[in-house]
Amino acid sequence: MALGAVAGLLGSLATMIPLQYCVLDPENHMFFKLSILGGTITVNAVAILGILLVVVVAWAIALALDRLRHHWLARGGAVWKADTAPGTFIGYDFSPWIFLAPTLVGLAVFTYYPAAQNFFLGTQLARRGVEKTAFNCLDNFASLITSRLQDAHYYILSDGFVWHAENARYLAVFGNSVFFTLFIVLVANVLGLSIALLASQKIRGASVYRTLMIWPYAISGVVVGIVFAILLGGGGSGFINQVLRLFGVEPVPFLSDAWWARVSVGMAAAWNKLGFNVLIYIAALQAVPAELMEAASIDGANAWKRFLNVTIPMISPYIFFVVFLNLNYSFFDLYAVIDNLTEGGPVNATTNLVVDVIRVGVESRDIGKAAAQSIVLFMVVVGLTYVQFRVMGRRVTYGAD
Amino acid sequence: MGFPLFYAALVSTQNNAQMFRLQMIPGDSFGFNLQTVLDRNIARLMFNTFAVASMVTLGKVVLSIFSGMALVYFRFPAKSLVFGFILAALMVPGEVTIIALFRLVALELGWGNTWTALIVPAVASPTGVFLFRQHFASVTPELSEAAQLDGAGPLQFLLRVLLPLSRNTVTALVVIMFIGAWNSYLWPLLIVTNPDLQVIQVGLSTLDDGVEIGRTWGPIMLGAVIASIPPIAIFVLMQKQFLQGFALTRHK
Repeated sequence: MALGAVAGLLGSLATMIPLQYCVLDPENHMFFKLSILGGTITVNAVAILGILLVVVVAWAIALALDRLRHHWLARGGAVWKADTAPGTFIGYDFSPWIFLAPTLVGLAVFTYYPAAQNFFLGTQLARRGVEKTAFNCLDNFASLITSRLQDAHYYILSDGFVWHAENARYLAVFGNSVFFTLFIVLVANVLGLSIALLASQKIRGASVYRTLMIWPYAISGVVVGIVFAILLGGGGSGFINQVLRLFGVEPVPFLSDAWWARVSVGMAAAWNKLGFNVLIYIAALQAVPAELMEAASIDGANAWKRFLNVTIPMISPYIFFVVFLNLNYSFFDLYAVIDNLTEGGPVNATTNLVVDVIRVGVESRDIGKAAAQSIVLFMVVVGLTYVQFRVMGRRVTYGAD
Repeated sequence: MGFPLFYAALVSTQNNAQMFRLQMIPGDSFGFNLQTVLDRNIARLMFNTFAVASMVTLGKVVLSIFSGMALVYFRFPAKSLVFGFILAALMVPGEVTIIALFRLVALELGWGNTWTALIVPAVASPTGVFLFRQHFASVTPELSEAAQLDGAGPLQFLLRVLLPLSRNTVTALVVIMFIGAWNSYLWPLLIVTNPDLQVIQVGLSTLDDGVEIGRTWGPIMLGAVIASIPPIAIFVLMQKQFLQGFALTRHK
């Protein structure tokens, strides 16, 4: 009966929602052509994006419902009866809400409302500084992987190659983000663990080492970008290149070659985070019981085997922790470093997803397209969070804590 | 590890010619560089950053303590839902919502070019609430029961018992939040264009003397070093508490 009431309510609500019709016009730019092996395949961009979107959202909702159900069952079916935990203040019915109100309102207005607004703006033709918006279906999403009709027209008139380059742009930007993430996570963790292994050999002066090691973590991305700009930049007259010349090495185009620029951004960011990783790994290594290592050496395991079969499994929770922190950092927090080191160049070679959101939304004033890009970012967050839950959940089962 | 910033400090005493000669001893331009950054009003930029970062940190800590307390020491319906609402926000990086937030704050609220825009959106902190909730949950419930038997209300309990117990957590949060607020770049870059209200991270690139072709690196490096002193000092001095704070976030 309750179900019927809910359905009735939903039904009446649904009729109140003004429907915006989305006509998929094949004459428009919803299709883009792929030339593979001499043949041409026409791909419906909107269909692909739409299906992806529906799948991801449905999957996220299912996951959330599942978690809620487990939670519910674990608590014996009654969610808030179980909150009669010992130590709670009795007879204060309003004060918790007053205590919570600023946080809840703040999150609702400055996190959830913009997040929801993204989904609305993603379907709108919206310009920066203009209040009015107009519905434009899924054009913003489609324009991420194919250019607009009028743009295409323009490009075909001027230069066919530019049209192709523009088509591949967003995918290239996505690729840059993935490259930075892989590079930073790999470098900062392999180096971090190696340094931690070396540093944990000696106990004397450990706190001094630690301080010397970790303070770059407190430096802002802006300073990291600027400092690496004088180290790597300046063509052949930059610091590193001058040092290399002393050894007879040809100048390296650190900031002017696409791949070197990507590596430079990766190095700068990895340097910023390295000290923190070292610190966590030192703490992790110290928590490995000495008896285990001794037992392994008595059994005849050499240093490498001990590292592989004892140390790595014992510190794996810490590895996951550090890797996920680095993952989130390198996907979302690189803006300051990139903006001050390469400004996204040369020719967008170091433009990642966040930099592109700002380029499109603020500099090109296309709020709608930037919102569509933000939704793609949001999907990445959902994916990362899901993986994190899975891995962390498994971690608990072999109980390292 | 420290070499890049050490080199920056070295360049801050040099002019461009000395820097490009790869001179590894301090140059003679420190006075000129200092005069340049003072003329570009670095004092104002530092003060602005200090004021904004302090207010953000204070707001975050106070709101987080109250919210954490509500989640641990009170009974109310839909508590797990409220906690879920806060936790879910923890997962969303600010960069994901920044375009819509920019539109909201600049256009709908009309807060462009104000400190309000720098402070208010930042004070509700899911990280802080989570940290304090975990910390309070680890405090034995007998304490609050004893306080109730003695006739203390929640506020008295907070001020007399809980806060003195939570000094380490508060310090950890202050360190994390202050460094984060001090180093924030993208949001002030977007929402503040008035140089009188700007923060140091955005202002660094304006410290150029504008005379030479290209950038004059000496003053910029001096600015970078000055801007890095407060966060590094706080970080090094309070390292232990900071690490305890991180240990707290790991104990789910």
